[in-house]
Amino acid sequence: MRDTIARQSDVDKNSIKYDVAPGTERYRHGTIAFAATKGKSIDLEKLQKSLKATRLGKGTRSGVNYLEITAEGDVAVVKKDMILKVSGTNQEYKLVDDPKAKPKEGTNTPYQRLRAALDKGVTIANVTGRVQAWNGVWPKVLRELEKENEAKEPTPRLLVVTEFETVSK
Amino acid sequence: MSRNTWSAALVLTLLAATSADAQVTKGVLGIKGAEMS
Repeated sequence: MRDTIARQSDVDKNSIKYDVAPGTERYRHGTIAFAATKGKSIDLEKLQKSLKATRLGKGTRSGVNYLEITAEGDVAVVKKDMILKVSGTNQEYKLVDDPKAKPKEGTNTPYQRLRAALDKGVTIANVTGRVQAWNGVWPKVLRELEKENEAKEPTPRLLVVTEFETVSK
Repeated sequence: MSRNTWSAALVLTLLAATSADAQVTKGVLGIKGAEMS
């Protein structure tokens, strides 16, 4: 089944990397890394709906620790906030610092470095960060994401900055 | 779907979740309950 869907998809199936912590217990931690093919993109709302349609939508204790994405777009400062506007869409993310970050003395968090780069007029190529609300047991996470999507006046989702790249001149 | 195959289903879901109208180019999903299928 995996091969069948992979053949029908425009996603770079060779990009998928699945790692799981060693051990035999049922609830181990793991990561799934993936990338879109050139010119394509990852649609988070579609991803969420597809997940809900699986058994992950109910009756499981498995969960998600985080969803980290890399997005290309413009970063603008709006009323002191940094807003990432994803290219070609109406999607916006409010960029925030990791509240748990404890940078070593003399170093800055990725968020602080991004802010400093913007203040110097540097153009940002892409931002990597962890998307708000993608944390917890699957059924609860998927229910809450659905509520957010149905909100009449959606607010920009928070993205905790973990990395960014600048445009080289 | 058996419990042992949910992670494979997750990979398939990721493969299907694309569109041509945005620029989110990469992702990493950190999961708990990562059983090898």
